[in-house]
Order: sequence, then structure tokens, then C-alpha cells
Amino acid sequence: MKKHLIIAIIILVIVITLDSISAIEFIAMKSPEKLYPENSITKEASLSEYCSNLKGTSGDAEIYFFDSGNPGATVLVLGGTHPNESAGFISAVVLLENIIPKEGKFIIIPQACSSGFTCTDPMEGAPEFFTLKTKSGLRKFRYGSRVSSPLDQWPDPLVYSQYPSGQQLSGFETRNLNRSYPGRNDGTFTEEVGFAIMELIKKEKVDVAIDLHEAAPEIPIINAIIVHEKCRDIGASAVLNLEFDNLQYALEISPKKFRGLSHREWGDGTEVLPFLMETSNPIQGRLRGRTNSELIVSGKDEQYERAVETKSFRISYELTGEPLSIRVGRHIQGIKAILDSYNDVSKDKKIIFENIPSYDDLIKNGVETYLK
Amino acid sequence: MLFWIYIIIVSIITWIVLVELFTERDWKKQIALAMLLIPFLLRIFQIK
Amino acid sequence: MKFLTYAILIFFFTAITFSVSNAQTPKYQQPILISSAGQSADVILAGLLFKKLNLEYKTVNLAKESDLKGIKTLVIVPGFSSKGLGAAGISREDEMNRVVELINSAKEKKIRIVMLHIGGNARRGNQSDNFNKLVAESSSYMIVVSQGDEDKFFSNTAADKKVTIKLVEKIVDATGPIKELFN
Repeated sequence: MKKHLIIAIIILVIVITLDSISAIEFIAMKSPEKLYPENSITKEASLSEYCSNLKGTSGDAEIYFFDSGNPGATVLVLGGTHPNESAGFISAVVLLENIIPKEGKFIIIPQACSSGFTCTDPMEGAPEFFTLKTKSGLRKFRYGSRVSSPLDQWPDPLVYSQYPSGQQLSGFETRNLNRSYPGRNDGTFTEEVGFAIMELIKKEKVDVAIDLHEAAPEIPIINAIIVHEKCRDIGASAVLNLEFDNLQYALEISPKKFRGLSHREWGDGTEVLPFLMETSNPIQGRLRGRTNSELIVSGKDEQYERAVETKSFRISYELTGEPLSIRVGRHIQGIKAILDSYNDVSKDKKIIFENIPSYDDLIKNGVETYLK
Repeated sequence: MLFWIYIIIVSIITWIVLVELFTERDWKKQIALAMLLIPFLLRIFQIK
Repeated sequence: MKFLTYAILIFFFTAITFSVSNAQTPKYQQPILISSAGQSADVILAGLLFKKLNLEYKTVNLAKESDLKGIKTLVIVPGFSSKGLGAAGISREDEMNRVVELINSAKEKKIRIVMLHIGGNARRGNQSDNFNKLVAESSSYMIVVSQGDEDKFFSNTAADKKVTIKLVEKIVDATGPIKELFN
């Protein structure tokens, strides 16, 4: 046989071997985590009940209902809109594995963009999983992509024209759930997910909806609560109340002309009072050093420490790091403050719940303590 | 629809790369062709 | 002699009364106009503080000269927010022009200007500091959350301009100096 043919065969065998090895890892990401809802759960559903096109797809995210059985407000908490923002996901898991509502109802979607949990972003060198040592042993959680998987929605256009505003964004944003609201029943895969969540808000008559996120430490909008203008006073009151817990948050108003985001479209398209919260997450940052699962959990990065110590950048980063427990703590305490402020102004409907750790509990005992 | 068009495009390019892999005599270029094959096969088989 | 004694006593008591009534009139009076410089949502937080203190105020994020009618004190809350500018539908340049005109109008009308910087470190940086500098240099009194003054930006400006600066730890602590200012 000629030499070049032998080399071609050898190369083909190597390609198939490498593809097989990587395929094992990629396919492992498609298995969802086991979650353990608190006994107070009253119903489990999925997004396909609000958009039938999602049935059988990886966008058919799980929804957990906790109805106290007593009249009150309905609250929706969304984690995992961006699956690479782990504190949002884990905060929602802490809620669903502990919450006991006393008045009103909680609806929790821990992995809103469930498709994004099946892959990582290209060229980021991101880990696929991180583990937490909980009461039941080591639990593995996925660290996903910012956007829906390209296997579910491909190809990306060069320019994404947001429906219905026509606002033009980078083509990559077509798979970003937080640019896809209000969505449409027969739109792209991600628009269908957005549509399902909007339908859920309308059909379940959600009163308060909170979307949990993270961002890189160098982004100006971190440790913030972003509000639609109709709930700015509740947001402002929550920020001031959080100060009594020694937690500083910036308050931001949702820009009217930036379309597709949860805090804009939920507020414009439904009666709900929408809030979005951000914490600071070093693994998303451009300055970061080693990118691994330890960085997700510890939030401690040498390069960010250098940036703070040398005063090279104006960034918000604690030298002790931004561990997952603190980030989840901020989200949980922020949710409590928003709901307390809502209860202060709501004349007829309240939301009362218990068995959720405080920020101080999470710092002292670690987030793992509150996961089953 | 566009999805299937792109799958067909990727499949055609993969076939062309395979043909080139077996006809190319310079081993360095064969390795470069192999680097294209890795992600294309993963996309055709809907793994990544 | 009697006449002189009475004249001195009358003059003395008149002078005391005049000085006492002057001491009772605060330098910073109500009603108050609160406005933003940079459109950060800190202006909403500021409004809550004033509401808590039952002060006579109104908040106008995009205040213009016409909003100064009847106002005795202008409180400006500086801090840049791209989301805030987007929410207000105004460009950064137009916002800067608006604030400059507002400050100039206030000075013409002899309305005192107070700066209230409560955004901490989040409202510092190149974008915010353009607004911070403008307002700080135009104010006769500053209340600043100390996290926003770690580099002594505001303290140094206050020292240069010989104006009072009150540093507080948290946003809610600003109620102390605000109450002191208007009582």
C-alpha cells in the first residue's frame, strides 16, 4: 500500500479515537442532575405544558410548584437562564430543596435554559461539572453554556433580529434566552422556551418573578437588582433593607429600549413585577487565570487578586474571593428582601415562607449544608 | 429547514476532506485535514 | 440717662432677637428638588431617604430649569448608569449638558446645591467621575457613602472648595446628615 494511504488510515483512526473519547464527555453532559424537592412540593410540571413544541426536546425544563394551600401571592424564581452562572442555578436548587410556603405559592425553575446545560461555550476552556459535598455525598452539577446548545438551534444568523421589536444583536444572541422574550410559539427553539415562560407567568397569574444571574467582576452591573419601572419602589426599598444586613446592592432600572430581557418583557407583557439579580462570578471574567471547577466553587482567582492589589482596574472583587456560598447567599437574601418589600406594599396578597437559610447561615455553614 | 441544509453542507465538506485526506501526499497537509474532520464528525453525529 | 438705658436695652434685645431668628433659619431650606447626574437609580434611593424624614421634596430625574421654580435647595445624586440612560432615553452627552444647565440655573437663582453620592464604588470610574467631579465642584455640601471615597476623591474636592463633607458608612446612615442639614 502507498505511504500516503497508510498515513491517511492512521490519521482517520486517530480522529475516530479522539472523537469517541470526547463524545463520552459531551454525552455525559446530557444527563440531568437529580434534584430533591422539599416535601412541601405540590406539583411537578415542565415547560411543554406551556408550549407543546418543546415536548421531547432538551428545552423542556422542569418546573416545581410549592403551593401553601393558603391564599397569597405567587412568586416565580428562575435559575439557570444562563447555565454558566452557577449561583443562579444553585440558589434555585437551595430554594426547591428547602422551602416551606405558608401563604401563597412558589414556582421554581432551576434550569430555565435546560438546553444550555448540555454543553459548554466554545473557546472558554470551561469545566463541564463541579461537585459539592452534601449530606448525601458528592453531588455533581453541570456548568453549561451561556446560551442554548447549537445542537438544538443551528445555524446562528449573522445578525439576530429580536422578535417582535426588530432590535438587532449579534447572531450568537439568537440562542440567549435572556434576549428571546416574549418569544413565540412557532419561533426559534429559544424563542419557544421564552414563550413558554411568558405563558406560565400569565396562566399561573404570577405576582413577582425573579431571574437569577451572575456576571464577571469587571462588568459594571454586578451585585445589583434590576427592576422594571413599575416595581422600582419595591426594588429601592429592598436595597435599603439589605443594607441593614450589611449587603450592598446597586439598583438599576430596566432600559425601555433594550428588548428581549426578562425584566423588560415580563414587565411589559404581563402583570408580573419582575426583578433580575446579579452577583459577581470570577469564572466568567476575562482576567481569570486557571479555569476549572474549583474556581466556580471557591471564586478565588490570583489574577483578580493582582488586579485589585495593583489597582490596575476598577473592579469589585474581594481578596478573600467570591465563593459560591456568598454568591448564593446574596441571591437568597436578595429574594427575601424583595419579597418582604413586596409584602409591605401589597394590600391583599402576601408571600410567607420558611426554612430558607439566611445569608449569614450560608456563609457560616456553606451552601452544601442546605443541599440534600 | 436551514438546519438540514447546513448538515448537508457539513456532510459534503466532510466527504471532500476525506477524499483529500486519501489523495494528499504531504503528511503535514493530511494532519491539517484531520483537524477539520474532528469537529465536523461530531456535528454530523449531533454529539457537539 | 433713663432714655439712654432704655435705648441700649431695646437695641440689645432687638439684636438678640435678630440673631436668634437667624440662627433658627437653616441655611438649607425646603422645598427640595432631587435630581440625578448620570441617571443611576440611586436617585430613587435618595427619594426614599427624604420620604423617611418627612421632608418637603420632589424627585425629577431629568430636571430642567423650569423644575427649580419655588425650590430652595437642589440635591443632586451623581452616578453614571448605562441602563439608567437607556431607561431615560437620553444620551450621555445630553445628560451632561442637562446637568450643567441645571447647576448654572440653580446658581443664578441662588439655590444651594447639595451633592448626595450613595452609589459607593459602583458609581465611581471614568464614566461616573465626569458627573461626580461636575457636581462635587458645584456643591456647597456633600454627603458621601465612604466606599465611594476610598481614594479621597470627594474629600480632596471638599478641602479644595472649602465645603463640608459628611462621610457615612451605609446609604441609610445618610439620613443623619440630611436631617441635620434641613433642621
